[in-house]
Amino acid sequence: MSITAFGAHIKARRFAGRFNWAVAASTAGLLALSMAFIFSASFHAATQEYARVAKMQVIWIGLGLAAIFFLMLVPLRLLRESAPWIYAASLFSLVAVLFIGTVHKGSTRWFALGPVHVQPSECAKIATVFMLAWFFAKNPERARTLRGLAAALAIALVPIVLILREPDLGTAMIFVPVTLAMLFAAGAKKRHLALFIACGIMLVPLGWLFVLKPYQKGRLLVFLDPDNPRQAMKKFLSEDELKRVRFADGYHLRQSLMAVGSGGLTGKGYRRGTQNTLGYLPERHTDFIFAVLAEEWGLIGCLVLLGLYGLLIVGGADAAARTSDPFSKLAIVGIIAIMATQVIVNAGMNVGLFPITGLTLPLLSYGGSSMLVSLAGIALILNFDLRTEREIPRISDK
Amino acid sequence: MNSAGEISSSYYRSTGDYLRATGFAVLLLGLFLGLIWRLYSIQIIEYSHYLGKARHQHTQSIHVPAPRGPIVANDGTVLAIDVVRRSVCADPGLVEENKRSAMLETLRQVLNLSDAEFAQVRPRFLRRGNKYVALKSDATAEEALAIRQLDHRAFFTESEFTRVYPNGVFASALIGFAGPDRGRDGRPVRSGIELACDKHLEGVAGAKEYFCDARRRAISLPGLKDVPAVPGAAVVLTLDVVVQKIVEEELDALNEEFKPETAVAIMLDAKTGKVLAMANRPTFDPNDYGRAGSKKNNVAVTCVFEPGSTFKPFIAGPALSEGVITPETPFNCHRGTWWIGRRKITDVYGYGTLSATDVIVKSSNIGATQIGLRLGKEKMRKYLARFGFGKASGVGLPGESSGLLHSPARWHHQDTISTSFGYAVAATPIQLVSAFSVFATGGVRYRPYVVERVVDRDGVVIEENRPEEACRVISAQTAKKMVKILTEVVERGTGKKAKSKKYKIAGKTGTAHIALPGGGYAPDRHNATFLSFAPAGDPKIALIVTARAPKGVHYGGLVAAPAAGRIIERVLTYYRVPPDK
Repeated sequence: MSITAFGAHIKARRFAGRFNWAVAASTAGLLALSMAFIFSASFHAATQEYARVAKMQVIWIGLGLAAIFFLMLVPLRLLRESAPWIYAASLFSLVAVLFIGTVHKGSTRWFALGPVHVQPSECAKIATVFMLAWFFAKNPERARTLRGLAAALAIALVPIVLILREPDLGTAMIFVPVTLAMLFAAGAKKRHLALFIACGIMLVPLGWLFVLKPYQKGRLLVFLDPDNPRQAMKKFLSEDELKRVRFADGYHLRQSLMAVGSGGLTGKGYRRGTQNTLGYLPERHTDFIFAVLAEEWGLIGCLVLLGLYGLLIVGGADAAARTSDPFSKLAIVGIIAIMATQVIVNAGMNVGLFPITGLTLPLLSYGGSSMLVSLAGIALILNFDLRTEREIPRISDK
Repeated sequence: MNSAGEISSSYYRSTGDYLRATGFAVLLLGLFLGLIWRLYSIQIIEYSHYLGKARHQHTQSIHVPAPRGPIVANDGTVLAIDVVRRSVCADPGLVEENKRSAMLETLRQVLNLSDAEFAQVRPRFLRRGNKYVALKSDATAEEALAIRQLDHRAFFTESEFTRVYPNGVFASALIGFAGPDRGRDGRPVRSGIELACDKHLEGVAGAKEYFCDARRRAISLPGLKDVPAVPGAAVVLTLDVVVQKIVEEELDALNEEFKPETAVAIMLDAKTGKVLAMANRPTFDPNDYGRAGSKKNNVAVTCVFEPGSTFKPFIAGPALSEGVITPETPFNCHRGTWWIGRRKITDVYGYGTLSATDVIVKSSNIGATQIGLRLGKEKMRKYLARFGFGKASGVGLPGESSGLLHSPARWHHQDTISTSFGYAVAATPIQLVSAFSVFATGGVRYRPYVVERVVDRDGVVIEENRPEEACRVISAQTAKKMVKILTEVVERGTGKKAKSKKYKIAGKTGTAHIALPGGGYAPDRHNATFLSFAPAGDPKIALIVTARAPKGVHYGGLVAAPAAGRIIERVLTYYRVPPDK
């Protein structure tokens, strides 16, 4: 064996040991499921035709994978030092979208770039995570002072307020658990966190009264009783508000529950979901892709899916725990927190545990912005994991 | 020192990190377990609830109506049949509100709606929230096609089966009626053969399931229920359309001439009991059943009356058979008035002594009473029961009356006298003609029947009726003697008006007072009846013609006999029976 070959062998071994196989494998599995079920969700039984979305999703995934390779090449230092610029650019785009965005179903969330619609709030999630990680990595002691924490909260609040203006309640709310998770991981004191949480809970009634629009309240209330949504709304809303509640008849949730419930243990079979292919399930390739899988593959399929997400989260958390670089650690925590929150909220809204907000299921739902941002997050986890020094090598490396 | 605790604590950068990581893990695990529990509860525990809801939403089940079987005459002539009727319907909700009025105008032209129809349709079509409007209930094929060519999903045609009676009043009381509506008892309206053979005629409706997508487009997939409808079986009657036509025509003529309240004619195949024709007046058109009123009653089998003199052969026959008289036995007819105790028996004409034959030929009540008394109560009742009186004939038509024949316990001595000339006993026209054909068959009574066979869609015979001997009533010899006597009734007696130049006809007239509901008899209302069969030598057909309360003349020999004679001559000619005169 020549020396160069030996060196390559050692390099390969080092790569194999450092590469986060759990994250990569679960991502690959989720992308496969995404293609399969978006294909299924694009099928119209009546016309025996497939919608364009299946083809488009393949393109997005391809672009996302290309982005992974690109992002894995970027040096860690460059990523860290560009965080404030990325954050600033993201805030700019959030402001811009309010003025030049396209209006769809009453909200201004998208830039129309030719045939493609870009959703800046998706990028804002990762940008904010980067900014917070940068902020604490600069001076870890910031996490221990109330002033430092207040500044961190301000970093998070700016995009939240901008996104609420669109309005996109679901995406805005994602920032709350993500920020809390990052503060927690950065080492914030428990009493400080408790103080923030208490303040947050006190703000809820204010938000209900002054921020939320009637239709948003309606959607939040629908899930209390999807069969009889007006009943629940009458208790909480004024006459005037009730009149302005539209598109909140519980149809989405009823259909989703029917699809999930009728899937049973083993499901109706791939592309045999009646609620899916007959078009009863609304937004089936985006917000309700979970229900499509639950209908066609049943509880077993759901467990497989949740298992893959579990593996992704555990793999990410493992990377966060092992890395010595505070920026990488916090960025990974933030990215994992975004994914975990979206999985729980999206799956939860599919089964009636959470109110229906337009949140996608990361890596599974159709949508370019969502897919690219999710894959970028995965790429960053893999990147950080490869590049940062570790205090303790893996047990298997010993 | 390599304990697990140390590995963990050194694996993470600090104890703080370790605790935080554990905190995250516990929180996430809790949330995931919550999700899984929720999935378990809706996918496993409430599985059937949601499956039911989903099925209810996407499965549509349609009822596939089965056509009712046809009723045909013995040569296959259709008497009743189901035809497809198209109705044009609309779901106005699928037409944009501002285009509805314009659409209505289009419909008016396409469907050739009359002003009245249009006035009815318009408000229904324009009413908000209306999802179903019947635009035209009986559209032509062209109109239905025009609607399809509009190619608008708000408009569609529905097909349903409707019962049609192509010959209208022809044999209508016998055929009856089957309507789509339900009567007061909750059962569908049925009468006549339509009722009697309902279980055969009625098809078995099918069911078809299909999936329906969210836009209510139907998608049929394999594995869904698809039970085809089974059309009802065809009922073939013994009815001969030509004979029926002749009978109807002659009954019309009788009806025109004498204006009776009701008139009935039934023709049987003399040797088998097959009903060849059965007609009533007044009659009704089953295609317009709503206006039929009481005319739909099949008087031929439901109405009982005291038969009067037509009954005398049913007394004389047994008396001959029992040997208590011979055709030549003389009877003193007391010049038309005879007292038995306090009861006065009268004849229309006063006769001296008449032979038993002449008692029948001239229809003497006094003579008949003496024959009846000779026969005696017990035997009279026994023979009458054998002739089929007091019991429904079993012809197979609904609502058949059993007539009246007193039980031995309730049979009074006076009843023996009354029965001898056809009172204190009541019979239906079908019972009378069936009993009378006993003489034609040589003494055997056959059960009359009107359903020849029932044949299903594939040509398989489900049910078949064959001539069925009910019982032997009198000996063949006696029957022969009776034929001779009854032939003389037509040749030289009360039935002369029935005489044919071509055929020897055996017959018996009857003119009976109509009983009043409160007791006693109406002085001026009679049942005029004529029973007959022909040709006398080898009888082919038996016939009853009876008219209730004819205007003007009232004798059976004058009202019923001429019609009967004409019918017999025409029918035998149609059957190519060689003249026997």
